[in-house]
Order: sequence, then C-alpha cells, then structure tokens
Amino acid sequence: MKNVFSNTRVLKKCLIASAICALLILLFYWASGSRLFYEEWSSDEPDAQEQIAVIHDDSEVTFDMDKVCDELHSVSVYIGTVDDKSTGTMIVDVATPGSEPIAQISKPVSELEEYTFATFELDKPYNSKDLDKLKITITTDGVTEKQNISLWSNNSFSAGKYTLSDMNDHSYLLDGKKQSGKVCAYISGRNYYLLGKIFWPCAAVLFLIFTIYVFSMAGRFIDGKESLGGKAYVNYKRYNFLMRQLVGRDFKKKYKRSVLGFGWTILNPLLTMLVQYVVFSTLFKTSIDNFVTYLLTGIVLMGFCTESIGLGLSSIIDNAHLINKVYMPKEIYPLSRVISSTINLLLAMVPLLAVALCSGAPISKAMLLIPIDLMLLLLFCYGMVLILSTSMAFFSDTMFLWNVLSTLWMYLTPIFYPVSIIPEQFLTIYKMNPMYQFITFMRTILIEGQAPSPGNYLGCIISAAVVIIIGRYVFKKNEDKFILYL
Amino acid sequence: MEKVITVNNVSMGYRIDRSKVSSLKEWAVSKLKRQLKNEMFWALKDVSFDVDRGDVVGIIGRNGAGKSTILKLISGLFKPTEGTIDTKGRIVPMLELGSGFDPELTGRENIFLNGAILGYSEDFLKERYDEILEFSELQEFIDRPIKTYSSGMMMRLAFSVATIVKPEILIVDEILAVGDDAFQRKSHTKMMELMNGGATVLYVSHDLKQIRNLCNKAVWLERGKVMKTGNTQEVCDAYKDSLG
Repeated sequence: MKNVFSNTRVLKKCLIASAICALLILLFYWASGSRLFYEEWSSDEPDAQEQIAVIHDDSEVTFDMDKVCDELHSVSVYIGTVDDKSTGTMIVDVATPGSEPIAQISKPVSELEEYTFATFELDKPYNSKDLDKLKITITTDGVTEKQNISLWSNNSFSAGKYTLSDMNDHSYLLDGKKQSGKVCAYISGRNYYLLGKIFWPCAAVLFLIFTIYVFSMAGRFIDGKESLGGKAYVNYKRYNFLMRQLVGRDFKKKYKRSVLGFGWTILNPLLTMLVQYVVFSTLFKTSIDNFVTYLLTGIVLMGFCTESIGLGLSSIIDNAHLINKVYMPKEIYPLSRVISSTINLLLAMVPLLAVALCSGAPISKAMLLIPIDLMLLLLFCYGMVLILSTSMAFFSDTMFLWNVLSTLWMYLTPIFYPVSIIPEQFLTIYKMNPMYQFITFMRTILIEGQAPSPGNYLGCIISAAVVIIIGRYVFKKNEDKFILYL
Repeated sequence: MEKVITVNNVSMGYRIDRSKVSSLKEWAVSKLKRQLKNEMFWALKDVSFDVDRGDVVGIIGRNGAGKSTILKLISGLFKPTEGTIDTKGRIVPMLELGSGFDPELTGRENIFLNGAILGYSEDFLKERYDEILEFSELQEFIDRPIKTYSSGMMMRLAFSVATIVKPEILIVDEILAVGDDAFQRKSHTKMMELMNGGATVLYVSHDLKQIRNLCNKAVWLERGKVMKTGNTQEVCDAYKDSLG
C-alpha cells in the first residue's frame, strides 16, 4: 500500500474515490431524512358507525387502545354532533393500563368540529415503548347534556378485518358500565428504528472499509498483482467495446422494422397501464392513493424483471455458435442481455416519472434514492439470469418452467391490487417476494414522497445479495461445461 | 528458441451417455435408474508436444483423430480434462469464418460486431475499416443487411475481417480460400502472407502436399494419440504409409 503514497497520480484517484464515497453517504443521509430514524405511525382509523354517548359533566367514557407506538404524540377522537360550542372544555386523560396517569389534554369545545376527528396533542411526546396498552378516559368540564356533543363507535364486522373475538375484546366503559363496540379514536406517534441509533457507526465502518480497499487495490495494481477490483477494471477495458457491440446488436434488431423504434419502450408501459387502469380502476381505485402511479410503478419494474430474465435466460444457448468458436468470458452473454434491458428500463423511467409528477405526486429529495432501487433490482435480475441461463444450457425445460412461474410471480406481486387484500396471516410470507420489496421501495418514494423504511432497504439488499452470490457461484462452477452440452 | 505453445500430457474426455439427456425429466429418470455411468470417450489421450516461436506446425490425421479438438483446446474454448496447455501471445483462431455475423445487421455493423468478437479494439477497427472494406470488394453493398448477401460475399467479408490483424499465434483449420476465382487467389496469397509473416501457425489440413510445402514441423494424430512428431517430411511419409 505504501507505493500508493509515492505515486501522486494514483494517490489522487484514490482520494477522489474515498471522497466520493463520503459524499454519497452524506447525500444518502440527507435524502433519507427522518426515515432513517423513525416512522410516523398511527393506529387504524375506525369508521364511525353508531352514536354511543353524549358527553357532559356527569358522564365518563373509558376505553383501551391496544396498539401502542414507541413515542406517543397525540390522541384523536371522533366527534359527531356539536350543537352548542359556546362553553366548556373537553378533557382526554391518557393513562397506563394500571391507571398511572400519563397526560391530561384539554381542548375548548369551541375548537371542536362536527363529524370529524378532534386531535389532542400531548404537551411533550411520551415514551410509551414499554407499554402494550393505553387507557383513555374522556370527560368534560362545564359542558351540559344540551350541547349534544356525541361520541361514535365502530361495531361492524365489515371488510373481514375483525373477528368475533376481537369484537368481544373491543369494549368500553360508559359511566362505569361495560358496553361492546369500539370507540372511534386513534393514537399517533413515532416508531424508532434500530438503524437510527447505529447509522453513523455503520457509515463510518463502511467508509473505512471502502477507503482501505481502494488503497490496497491501487497498491496491488501498481505492483502488477491481481485483485478483484483490478481484474474488473482490466476486464472492463478489454471487453467494453465488445459489450457495446452486443448491446447495440440487440437494440438494432429489436427496433429495426418498427416505425416508432425507441418510442415503443416509452409507449409500451403506458399502454399496458391504460389497459389495466380501465380494467381494474373500478375494483381497486378507491383503496389506493394515486392509482395511476401505483400501477405504472408495478408495470415498469415487473416488466424489467420479466423482460431481462426472459431474454437473459436463453443468452447462452442463443450464442452457442460463438461460444463454440471464439474464446471470451462467458458472463459477457448474459450481462449484455441484462444491460440491454436496463437501457429499456431507464427509458421507461421517463414516462413513469412524468406520470407521477402529472398525477400530483410530491417532488421530494427522496427521489435521489431511486438509483439505489434500480441498482439493487439490476443485481437481483442479473443473478437470476446467471442461475437460469446456466440451467437452460443443460435443460431446455427451464424456459417452459419460467414461462409458467413468471406468470405466477406476477400475480403474487402487488401490481394492480392493493396489499390490503392479502389476508393478515400470509403477509409475512407475501412480503418475502423480492419484487414486492423493490416495487414498494419505488412507490414509497414516488407516491408518499418519503424515503423507504430500513426494513425495505434490508429486504432489497438481502434479495439482491443472496441471488447474485448464488448466481455467480452456479455460473462460474458450470461455465466450462457449457460447450460440451451446446 | 522460445516455446510459445506447450501441450503437457493433455487428455480430453467426453461423457457420452450424459449428452443424450437434455431434459429435466430424462435426467431425473436416468438418475433414478442409475444409468448415468461415467462412460468416457477420450477424444485425446495423453498428448504432448510444443511449438517454438515462428514454427509452422501441420497437424495431420484421419477424420475423428482429434485434430479439431486440439485446436479448440489451444484456443481456450475447451478446458482439458487432464494435463495443461500453456500459451504465450495473442491467439487468433480461424476455425470458422463469420461465426459472429448477424444476418439482420448491415455489412458495416457486422464488421464492427465481428471485429469486437475477435478481440480487436475500437480504434484499431476504425483505423483499418477502409482496408477491410477494400479487401472485401463490397463497397456498394456495405450498408445493406447481410442477409441479402450471397454466401460468397459473406465469406469475403468474414475473411477480410479475420485476416486484418497480424496475429502472434494463428490457428487455421484448412486453408481458407473463399469466393470466386479471383478472390480465391487473393485470399490464398493473403493466407500465405500471414503464415510466412513470422507468426506461429497451427495448421490442420488433409492436403499433404500443402503441409509439406508450408510447415517445418508436423504432428500426426491417430484416435486421440500422437503417433509421430518432428520433421514434416518424415511424419508425412509415415502417415502416408499407414494409409497404404
């Protein structure tokens, strides 16, 4: 490594590389914003269905909230009618299940609105991490029954969300008497991520590892020794022209006879979206925010996945005549196919971003994180291509199996339906689908204007890493045998 | 003399019964029936020889003697089952011309594609493009898709691309004389030029007369084994005697 410091040209390059690394980490920190540390959380908002009580100075309503976040910020209660706003205050007491008081928040009746949730903010956030339930009591001061301030409940079995036992659990006390039903109220606050606490140490370690690696690689390069990065660089120099020719061939062939040429790459996802929008909008539109962007994100990303894998899968057998005649690293064939599809993906991002912005999606700094999603998705698909093209070289059944499985995969991915239609007990397995992770990543950014959650990052990174490692291993182990089977 | 190719006790075996299995079902069935025995067919068995810089080596033998296999091994397309092969310098295998051609692309696009496949750099191809075009005599057709070419035209283009380099090691499977009479003479001259131009050449042919004329060394293969190596005339005589 010493020789790096005596060679100013190489030293400069190394320093630039680590500076870029540091810059990227800072940019990542900035673009992610608060999402690295916590998420804003609210319990479900129950629909108001039935009036249960009129509150006044002689009444008291007590109920439990059975889902609690790490840090409690506010309690919201649904208010039905308010006939007279002139006097009095409404008081919300928050306590632990053991009746230790946490906070008392009051609000003048004059500030209440009819038929909506009234939010009671805690003076300062309360650390509710160790609690599994909250006890909430609603009373008033200086309010008469005539003012007709009503609370509502939700006691329906609708949407299949509540089971009978849930219903029994959902009860409240009205003036000390137990009633069944769920008071229309929810709590909001924050859930803190583990990542938030360890982000800076992690970033520092990452930066150090990267810097040390760059320097040792440069040192080995000067000495003429091999290293992983050095080899990649040499291979890039040597095969980059061939790669461009192969990718160029794919493109020229694809668009040679079409009038619109490249235009199709942009039109295709839009037209698919249009068709699916017409078919599914009445079914799912109401339960999804910004349905157009929701659809198009799924179509573009899933389209890339099936296209790149579908094309890459046959890359070895399609190039059999070359593999038999000329020596070159065999990874070039699957890689060139995946690169062609990636160019298509980048072109398809144009209509996706345009549609997202036109449909009112927020422009946010989180958009800077989109390349991370695309890169991980690319690695994932490349890994899949390596595995499947290897398998394809030995068994042509692979293609038929893939055709069936890719259809199944598409339906298991939330492209045109909301995730909420999946029964709760299958959700964990359902979310193990890598495409779910990649698509959710993009939707969080485009539709919510937020950075993805740490869990989402983890899902994407694990999917990509596992598949690319297995793919490289399988491919390297078998590449010398291809020629004997082609 | 510097040795540029060293072939050390090389054997190349194919598993013959495996090649029959091409679908998952067949594979599973035969795995269950335990039919997948390792029956090996040895295309080459314990072959050793070496080639010095500047040698022109002829490889002779009957069909199926393993001549093409040894060329593919030296080109790096196969990995030997046993033994090692060391080569120094850039190898240009002329095993089959125009294997990287794509019929949908134009002649010009194919020059670049095929050149890239043969390992030429972009700058080199741009610099020598005119020379390639001139040699192929295809100026007026160069921007048409090569599926519209006659087979002779296609061979002329392929030959022109393949022979533009001055390779250190040239591997030739039969002399490549392509096209019509005039082009055949031209391509023959070009081949001779390449082979006499200081390159190390491995040359497979059934034409004993040509081997005697061109080569200073010969290797005679028979059923995957080396029968005789050394002086061209002696090896050729022995081979001719064996044919009867």
